[in-house]
Amino acid sequence: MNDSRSISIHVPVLARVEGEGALDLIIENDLIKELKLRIFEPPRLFEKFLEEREPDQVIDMVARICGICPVAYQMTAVHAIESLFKVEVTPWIRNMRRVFYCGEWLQSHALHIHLLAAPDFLGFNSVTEMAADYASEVRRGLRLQTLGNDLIALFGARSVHPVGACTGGFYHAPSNEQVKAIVTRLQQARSDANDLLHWTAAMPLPDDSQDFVSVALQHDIEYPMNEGRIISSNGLNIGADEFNAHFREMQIPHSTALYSLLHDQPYLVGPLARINLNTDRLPEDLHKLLDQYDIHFPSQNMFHSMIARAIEIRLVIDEAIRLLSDYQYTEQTAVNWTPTAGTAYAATEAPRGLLWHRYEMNASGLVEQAQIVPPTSQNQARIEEDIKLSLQNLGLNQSEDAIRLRAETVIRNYDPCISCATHFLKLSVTRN
Amino acid sequence: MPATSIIGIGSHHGADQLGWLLCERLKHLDWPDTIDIQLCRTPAQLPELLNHCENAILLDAIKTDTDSGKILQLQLKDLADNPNASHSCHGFGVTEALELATALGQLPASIIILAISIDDKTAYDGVISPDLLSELHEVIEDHLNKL
Repeated sequence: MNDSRSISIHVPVLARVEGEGALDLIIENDLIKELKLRIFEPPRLFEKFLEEREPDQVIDMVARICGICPVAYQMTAVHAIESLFKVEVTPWIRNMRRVFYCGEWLQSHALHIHLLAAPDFLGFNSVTEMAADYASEVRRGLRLQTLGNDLIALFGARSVHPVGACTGGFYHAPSNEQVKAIVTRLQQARSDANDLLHWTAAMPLPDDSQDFVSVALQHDIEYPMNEGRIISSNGLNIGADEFNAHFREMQIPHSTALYSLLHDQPYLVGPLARINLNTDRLPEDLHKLLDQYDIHFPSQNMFHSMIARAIEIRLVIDEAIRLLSDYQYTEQTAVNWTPTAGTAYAATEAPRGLLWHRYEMNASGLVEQAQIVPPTSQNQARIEEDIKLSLQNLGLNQSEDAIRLRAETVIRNYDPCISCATHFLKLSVTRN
Repeated sequence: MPATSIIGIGSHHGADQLGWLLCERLKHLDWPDTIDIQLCRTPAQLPELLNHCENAILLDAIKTDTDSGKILQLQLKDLADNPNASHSCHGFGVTEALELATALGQLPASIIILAISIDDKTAYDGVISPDLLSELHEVIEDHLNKL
């Protein structure tokens, strides 16, 4: 038997991810010779579009970057701008922004677990195939996703590209009756969330531990969402204004998304990184639930991202109930603000991980320059590294189908949002 | 008239907004109380929306080589026979959403898809012609009368 072989695997269009990407993989003599996660979706130039825009235009425009995580873009922009303008919001606004964000995590994670990732781990090609054997689980996913969408719409008027957020707060407050109705649904959803956590913990996830650096926000007492310092598992602890001193964005030929490196090394952002760095910020009853399973955080098994998402679903349901339980309608949904010239920075935790914004603003409050670093571009180098390690752990002598499936499973495990990630750092044109 | 949901599928972007725009215009016409009109913002929401209606009429834009503004009445099998018919987010488009609803037993008693043709080569200008709206109203009423 000849034990040397060459395999060229080309996945022309990645399925069950948001946006347009592909994977090229060449294996020679059981060694990975070339691996490229190609992101070829055209650059979307949002940072340029934001120039000369007013704060509230920025907040509406950045929501259009992503149909799945518009709240993350809005909240990051609003926190950056308010930080520069020294706006102090009321406790009501702060709490309702957290609820708004809870809705986004809920719908995004429910979609990813049930419709996108679970089929990989349970041996199906699609959620439609999976529904034949797991109908009640798929229905649960759709219910949770709908609830998350409705929570976003409660404050944003609609769940995709919401329009309710503004500098200083919200344009409107939901009525007491609307909030009471959704709290009832949230309470009913707790059992779905518990079942989901049990389901993911029992799922046959590959045992694939790797050495990687986690990066996430950390808040003094809360599980991070809108606020906190950027920390890493290798000792980083910085404010949002120091991001560019430690993280470097770079362009590579095979991707329209920028790569981002921490001290020139790949790193992980997202639910697993958040939990790895914030295990002690999880509520006590969630710790008790987790004690039932032989899964421990921090975890270096990337596939525990599935469980991390399920934990965060339970977390945001409880968090939304807590924040809405004493809800009172108010007319004071926003505070006044005055523009200030300077540089605005903020980082928040999008469902897929750390999202960082920087805006140079003039004295009229118009954006002069914008920089947006989304989670998927931060994860891009880590995804490529993960595929290499995961395939080596799987065994490069496996069949092409097995290698292809594992590579796609690894990519989908990150829930990459390619549409968010595609942009150019710099366009250089030379004319003779 | 039997309870029926008219569901506009789409987004804010380009021609994809056509299903939404038509629904917004339809809301201003006279309908019996048994008819409700709503928007579907991503195909992943569709199975849950269908789970709560007795009959459904889906409105969506369809890219074609023919002129814009033609109303095509499609059945589920028409989409199944054309796997590339629907564009999607996360690889989960209208076709996949309807297949999932079928697999989950969440389809209403009757469902039709009214696909409004969009010329692939011309940027959509967001204008709904009175003729298109009138024809759509007529098609929907005809369908409702047959239920």
